Amino acid sequence: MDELESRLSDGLARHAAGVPEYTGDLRKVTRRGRTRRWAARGAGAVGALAILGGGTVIYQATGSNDGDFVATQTPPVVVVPTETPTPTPEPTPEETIVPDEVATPDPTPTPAAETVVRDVFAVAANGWGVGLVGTGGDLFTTLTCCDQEGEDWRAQPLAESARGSLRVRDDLRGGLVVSTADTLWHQPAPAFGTEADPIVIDAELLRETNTVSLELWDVSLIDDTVSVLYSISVSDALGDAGQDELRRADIDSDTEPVITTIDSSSWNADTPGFIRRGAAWVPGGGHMELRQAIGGNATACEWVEYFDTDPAFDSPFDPPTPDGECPQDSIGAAAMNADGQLAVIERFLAQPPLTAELVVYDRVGNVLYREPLPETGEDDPRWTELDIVSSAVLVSRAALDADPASDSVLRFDLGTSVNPRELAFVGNPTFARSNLITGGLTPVDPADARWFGDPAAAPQPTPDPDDPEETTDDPEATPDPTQDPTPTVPTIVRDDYRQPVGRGANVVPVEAANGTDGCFRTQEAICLGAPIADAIVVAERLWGPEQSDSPEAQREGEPPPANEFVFFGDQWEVHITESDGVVAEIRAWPGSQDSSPADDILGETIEKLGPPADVFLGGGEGRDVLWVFYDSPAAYVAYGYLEEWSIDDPLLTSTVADGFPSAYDDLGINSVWIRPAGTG
Amino acid sequence: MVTLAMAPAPAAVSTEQEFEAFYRAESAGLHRALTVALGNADLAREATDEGFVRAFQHWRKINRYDNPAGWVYRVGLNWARSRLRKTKREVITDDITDAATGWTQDVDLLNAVAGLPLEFRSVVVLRYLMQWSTAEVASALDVPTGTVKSRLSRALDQLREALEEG
Repeated sequence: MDELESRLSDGLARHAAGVPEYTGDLRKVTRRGRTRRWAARGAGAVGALAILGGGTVIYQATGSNDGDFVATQTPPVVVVPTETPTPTPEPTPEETIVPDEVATPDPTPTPAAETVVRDVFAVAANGWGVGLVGTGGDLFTTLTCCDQEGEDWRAQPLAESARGSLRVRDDLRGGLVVSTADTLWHQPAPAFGTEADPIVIDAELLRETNTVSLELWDVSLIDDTVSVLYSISVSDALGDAGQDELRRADIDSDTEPVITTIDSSSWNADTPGFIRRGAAWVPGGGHMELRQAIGGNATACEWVEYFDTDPAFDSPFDPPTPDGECPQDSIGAAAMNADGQLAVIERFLAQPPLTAELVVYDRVGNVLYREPLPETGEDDPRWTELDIVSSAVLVSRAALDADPASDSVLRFDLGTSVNPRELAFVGNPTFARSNLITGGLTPVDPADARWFGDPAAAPQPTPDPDDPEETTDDPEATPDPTQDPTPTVPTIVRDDYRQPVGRGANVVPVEAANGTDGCFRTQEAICLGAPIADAIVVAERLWGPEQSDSPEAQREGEPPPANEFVFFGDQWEVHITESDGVVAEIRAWPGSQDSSPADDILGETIEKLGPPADVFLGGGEGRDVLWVFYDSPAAYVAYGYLEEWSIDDPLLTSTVADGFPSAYDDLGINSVWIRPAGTG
Repeated sequence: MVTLAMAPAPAAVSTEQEFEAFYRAESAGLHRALTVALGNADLAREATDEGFVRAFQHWRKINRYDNPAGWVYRVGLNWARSRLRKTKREVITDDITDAATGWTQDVDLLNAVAGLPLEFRSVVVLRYLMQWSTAEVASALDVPTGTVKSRLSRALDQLREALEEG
């Protein structure tokens, strides 16, 4: 190595060492499988969130100017339920309560199946995730759950009526409680994934033809009895909303569910009343409700009340006065953990800028923690008070409800394009920071974490695998999987991003009036920047359903024959098989087409010009272009667009000197050419 | 009621862990390499991600390659080129120090490297930053070994000339 080479090695190494360390990224994924950085564009909000085993966070990004994006993590760690169904031992409740140590992976390879997780609803305290899976092109066919390591998937086929409007609570120790717009059913944990039919909890609902909505609020397991808190809204004879009723269903495994009406209050928009914006069981008995005043003078007031609960609880909030005055600034959302600690987002509405604080109270109203949230104001239409509400909803749903047995608080601050988003886990050792991958989000340093429970149980800082000082210098080194502290988590891939998600069937993505996006509208007319209430993740399927038909999939696990050349495009897969130097078979699969003209076009091209050096299939919507490259003589043939392909009328035929022709730009192709097979 | 997809997924766990191990081992280095090659850390980040996403999609195939990291590099580089072409930015960048202000300690060298055509620059980065062998560079870029040697030789000549002029 001469002087220049030494200088290059040294200079480039020192230069590269200054490249900012990459600590993770949110990625957005379009339907066509493209990924882009989401955080860098500052667009939109996080629409859904789920915490999977090991603390991996997966998001749905609802906002972007061009829509249809999903944010997920990097790397896109995927565990898809695999293999032919095989009965697995049912975990006992004791086995599922406490997350165990990270399991050592079984190195035994088995073929993958085509079951794909569509949505993830929630994650239980024990690390079990709940979601929907589909097979083939079907959507929402099966409700499934898996344990913290992504193993032990069990599936529960859904009734036809359950599709599309599910709301799931996941106290898996007691089984699952699932609601649709008009049905509430329970599947005990031991029966989940078996042939046992779920229990219809409130059969009366089916007969109440005026029922207009059902809200499943909370599930609690007390002495082997599953208590479900839910509310229904029924209409009057004219179809107008007239009554809101809070009910509880106590489900004992040996008896029929016992239904009790807790509260029945008439309300409408013309008289003072309230909307029940949330309800949850609280330790010590009873429940708490987050209410919002409506009608009269009491506008935009929210407060928390406890009902029939331990007298030690003392709500720090009061309801509006009879004349409609709000005793305090408004509550955006509230949630309570197993110790009775109450997390709320308090809003201050008298201005802009709108301000809010995340406040955690103990059970008698003492402030344990207070932190201001970023201000919003007229100059930042992205943040409204309703956005703050939504961020608090996340606190209530994604954090405390997701982990009711711990003292954890998940704080999620919706940022703006100029303010950083922040995601912080406080207190829960299960969700170790080491594997928390965020982008545009700043995970809280464990040293800064506030711990509301037993300090002895507070999480300790864990080695950051991305820390260059803790990363091996050997690029060839492969971590010992048995020493990997990171449990592998389920893959979340999304197919139908338009499927209403969030709080029941009434949630639909909408364009905000101010032109920003990423909003959801609920039956409560809340424009949610982050409808985290259900901790739903919708991710995108990265590969078309035709994948299962491809010979590659059929031959999963086997290396391709030496005489087969496989070309992957953005949405395409082309196999060219040679036999005795002659192209014997050409098969192409577009990701979203039932049939492809690529077969014939490519076949005829090869017939004319011989086997190509490369095939490049790509393009955007309606712009699919087939490129066939030849090395000798260096030339290319391009056909496009998809509907216009003709062997007699190629778009371009030219000699390739070096690189792409300038006409490439004119085609507006946005694709990647990949030539992996037979060349590696 | 029929039970579906009941099995645990130990094999998938193993496969995905393997990919994750690959990601964790290679992503930082590839990002650095693409940053130097492209002169833009953000673009390199996206390119790295794109490469890894595609590697993930075809991992069962990619992981049998001699140099999967090289494949990721190539895909990422091609993705970046494609993207830049689409945005009508024919020249990727002539100043790879733009995004590296404050990092670099040998500005003359980096400016000289920045002046290389991308094909040459890429070979230089893989050979001298990634410390890959000529064969590994050839595999990564999907070009013959002789092409790598030729490009390296020409790149070094141009660098020497540029540094002497500087």
